[in-house]
Amino acid sequence: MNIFKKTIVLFTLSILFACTGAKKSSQASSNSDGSKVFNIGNGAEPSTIDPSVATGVPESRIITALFEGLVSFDPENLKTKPGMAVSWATSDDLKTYTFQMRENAQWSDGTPFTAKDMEYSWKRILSPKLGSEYSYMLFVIENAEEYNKGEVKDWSQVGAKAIDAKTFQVQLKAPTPYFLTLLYHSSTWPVPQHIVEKHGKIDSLNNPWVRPENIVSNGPYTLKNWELNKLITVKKNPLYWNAKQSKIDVINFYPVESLQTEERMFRSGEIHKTNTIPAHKIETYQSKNSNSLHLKPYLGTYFYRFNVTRPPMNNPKVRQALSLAINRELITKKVTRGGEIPAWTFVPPNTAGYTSQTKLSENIEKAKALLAEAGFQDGKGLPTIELLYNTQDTHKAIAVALQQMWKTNIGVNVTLRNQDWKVYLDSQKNLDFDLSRAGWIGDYTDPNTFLDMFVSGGGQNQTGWSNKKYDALISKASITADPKARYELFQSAEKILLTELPILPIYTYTSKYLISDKIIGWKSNILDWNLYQYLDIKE
Amino acid sequence: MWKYILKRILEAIPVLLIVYTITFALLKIAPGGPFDSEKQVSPEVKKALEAHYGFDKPLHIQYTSNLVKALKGNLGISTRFKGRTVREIVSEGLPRTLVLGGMAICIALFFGLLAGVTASLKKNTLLDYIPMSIAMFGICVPTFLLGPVLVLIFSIYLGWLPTAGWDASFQHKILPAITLGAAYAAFIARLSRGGMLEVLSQDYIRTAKAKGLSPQRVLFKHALKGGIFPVISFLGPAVAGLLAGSFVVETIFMIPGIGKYYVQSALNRDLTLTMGMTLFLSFLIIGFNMLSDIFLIWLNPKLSFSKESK
Amino acid sequence: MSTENETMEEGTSLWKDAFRRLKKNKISMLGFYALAFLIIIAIITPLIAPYSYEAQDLNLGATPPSWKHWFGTDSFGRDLLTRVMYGARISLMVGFIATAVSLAIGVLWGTIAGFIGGKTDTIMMRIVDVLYSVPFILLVIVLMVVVDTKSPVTNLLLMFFAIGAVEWLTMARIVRGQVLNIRKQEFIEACFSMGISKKQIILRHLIPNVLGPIIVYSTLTVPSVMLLEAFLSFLGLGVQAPMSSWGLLINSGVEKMEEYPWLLIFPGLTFSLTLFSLNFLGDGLRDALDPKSSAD
Repeated sequence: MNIFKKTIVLFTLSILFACTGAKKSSQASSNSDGSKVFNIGNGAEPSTIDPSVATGVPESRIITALFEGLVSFDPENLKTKPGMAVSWATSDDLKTYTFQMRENAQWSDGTPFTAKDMEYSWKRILSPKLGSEYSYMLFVIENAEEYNKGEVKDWSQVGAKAIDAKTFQVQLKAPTPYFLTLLYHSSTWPVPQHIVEKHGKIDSLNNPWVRPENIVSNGPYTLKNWELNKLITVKKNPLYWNAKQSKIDVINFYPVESLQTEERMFRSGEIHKTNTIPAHKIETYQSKNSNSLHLKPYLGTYFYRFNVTRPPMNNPKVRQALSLAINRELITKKVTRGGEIPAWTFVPPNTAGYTSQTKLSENIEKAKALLAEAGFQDGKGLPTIELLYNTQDTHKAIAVALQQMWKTNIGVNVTLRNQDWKVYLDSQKNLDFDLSRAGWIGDYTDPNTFLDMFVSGGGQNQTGWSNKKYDALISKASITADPKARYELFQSAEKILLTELPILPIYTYTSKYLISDKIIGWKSNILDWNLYQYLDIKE
Repeated sequence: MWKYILKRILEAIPVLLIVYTITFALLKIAPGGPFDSEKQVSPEVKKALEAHYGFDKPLHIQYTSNLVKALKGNLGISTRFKGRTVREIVSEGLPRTLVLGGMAICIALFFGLLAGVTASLKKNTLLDYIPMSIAMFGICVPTFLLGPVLVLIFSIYLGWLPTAGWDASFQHKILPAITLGAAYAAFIARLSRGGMLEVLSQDYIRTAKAKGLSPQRVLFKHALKGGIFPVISFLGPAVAGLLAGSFVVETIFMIPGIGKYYVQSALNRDLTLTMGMTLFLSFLIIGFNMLSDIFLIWLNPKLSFSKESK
Repeated sequence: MSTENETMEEGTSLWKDAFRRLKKNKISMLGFYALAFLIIIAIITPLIAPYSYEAQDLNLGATPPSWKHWFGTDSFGRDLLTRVMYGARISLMVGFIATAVSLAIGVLWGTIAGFIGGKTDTIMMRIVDVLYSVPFILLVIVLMVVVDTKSPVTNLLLMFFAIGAVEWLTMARIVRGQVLNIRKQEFIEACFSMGISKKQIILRHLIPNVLGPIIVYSTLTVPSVMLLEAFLSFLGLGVQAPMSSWGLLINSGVEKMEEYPWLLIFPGLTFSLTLFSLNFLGDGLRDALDPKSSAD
């Protein structure tokens, strides 16, 4: 069979031949023309880049490059800075904000940017038919919620108006100390009315105005190219009001979904920043390349929900016992390994200066005692407890570890049940679980985004827990102007939450990813939010 | 022959209809919808979103109107990729998947047949054991293992090739093609060896040899035709599957083909995209099963699909 | 003309003959013994496993092979040897049962379709086309909803069903192809003219002649079934954590292969050993059962 052997040799040789030659063509940090390119592993293909409609983090990273809101912020300390508005004034009762728009601000097609664009954008996100999932961000505004629900049909009754081309006035329902931080969120950012209406109606969801050939934006970059599931490229916008600040010319967003692939791309230099990093690789980077490793606190809590509507989780003593019997530090140090912080509270510590004074603790003896008091000495007599989680390695690892802790420490047997994402969401919503894995990332830097989840019947509650005193405290806080008094109310509320324990806080998130030390100016803040115009690349 | 082809095409219609119906039912029964997310959506928002896609209409109306639209070529808009039509999504990704699949098939056929036929001719010698062991290796090493290993060797440690991505260059294509083709090559090797062994011991082969035909002639004119029967039967759905794309390979190598959509659209409950992908796969299956059957007839003209006369 | 010294060749059945031939094939017997060994170990695992498959030692974490842990430990400090042994129980069970199910259905389906031909063939093969096309993941998800999967036994059974439902399709096609090829051959026609019933023809003449590719494809089905199980367990159907299977162990081992290579090597080797043994045994069986092999 000589012919065959010859063919194999020929085949292999030709492949090797084809492989040699320039390998990493398009993915260096500078193009052949010397322009600076930042390559980012973005984790997933964005669902959309329409600010009024987008919900996820990969989307927001791209939107941050393309658009800018009324206000901007300092990535170092999250302090509010001028954005599309250069200044603002608050009324004495703290319910009215008047924004002065920037002179000579433009859209990327040269159209002047005016206050009318802001009013239009907020009208859009609040349109009942659009179905924006973040419309609630603006519910602090007078009649906004009512307009969104169709109860108020006349837009002029909503407290967001362009008084003239340069003045935008907002009327709030009640004094809201964190109002400006709400505006950091990209859902509140403007969209170009002249482009949106050219390609569809104000409330058409699948409006093609965001396509590369149509889109117009007001931020430091414009959309140059969008190949579905392959690559999104943005390039510097010369008409941005602060264009001279931007040093990076081009940013490429790669929708890499596999964590392993992403890490390999980083290692080979094909990307400068990853979306995340697998837990078992953290140690390697800590010892070999710690400059590239980014592990910093993030505004989010990883927790389990209890289903308090059925035994045995309807008994607070059982819930407290389960909380006392685990070792959170072991989980963060040995399982997740990303520098996470054990959670003794639900609101992450030092959120806008707020830290809960009530704290959880760990004590196996106390757990055993509580369990016995509840009638389940040494875990005997307990009905089966099922822990629900969605298919993902981290969730599985944490669940497996906790399962063992409960078994070894207090004799409680928990069976694990994993479901695919959508089924898991459905089961959680229908309270078809005893324990369910959950996580919450804050929408804005204020304790309220965490605490108002658990009001009776709230959409995010999903535990069946209801406490009138808690509801009253949260509701009162939403109309309290004095920050100190407000935080006192939150303290009382969180005390109730941590005593009755409808949820089991486990750890505070960290943002964890790899970022090349070629990137200059990358800041750490608890929203893990950076603005590309302040970055540079070392050659 | 043409009558047969026409018959098969006509038969495809009820098949597609049944597939559409079953898939539609499954999509509606499966818990969770396209708009469910970690941050719960209010019922009003959910209704507004559903209205955009016609999900708020009664089921039987959705069923018929989607069917009518599909017949006109309108497969709807994806819920996961807002504003993109299913047709656009598939037609963008398809060429890449086809190229990758095509390369993988060529690799698989070439190495698979080479190994399998050689092994069958040199049965129970080293030239049998070695190719078959390599083939077994190809089966034992799943794609999700082979891919990363190849990347680590050729891309990270040797630096010859990129780790992921897809563009016009050959360098981006070779590792994924090998990864994808390897498993199929192993199957083809084993099946062709088995098929060839069946045939080689048949009387008519002995006759041919006795008649003094050269080994090559015996092989190519007589043995191969019968020997690759199981390969052809296997190839029908296998090629369809390859062309529909490999979820694993496309994820490992970040290839923007359509393979990912099968798994993801179902997991995302992206009704329109799932349906589009299913119908597409169904086309491929029907088409390639038909081609495979036609090929069988061509190989063995005595073959017929008609009813047993006796 | 026989003399007193010649002994008549004893008539024997196909199966006895095959078994005799198989025993002579050294490599196949090697495969057989290896498989038998693995199966026995799997069965007595609860008695002989050195550790519990779920007991963790988080402070220990992943350690390479040592005297205390022959295969090393995983990230939770669990003994890998024990987990591979328990994984064997799941994987071997899934592998053999699901393959047997797909074999039974596939062979019957393919034979009937190929033999009877005509409209029956058409309908049966179009049903195969439909089942190929239906999205498998959705089917699994709906199955899990429709059938209560709270007990691990139901979960496993359901997984067998799901896997069987998918794997028999290609088997049926292959068998049908073979049957179509053979049924026009002279010896089959001879059977007909001798008046042998169709059932007899199928069982005693047709199936033995198509056994070759069937056996080969079965040995190929086992590994793909085991890997499919890993995928399904991932989705929530099948094995629940902390229990594991070879497929799952290999899956997580691949991710960590640079940091903790033993997590991949040991389950991988065991998996490969099983498949190689199966392969050689299957080849031996195929050779032994080949009615056209010359008499020894």
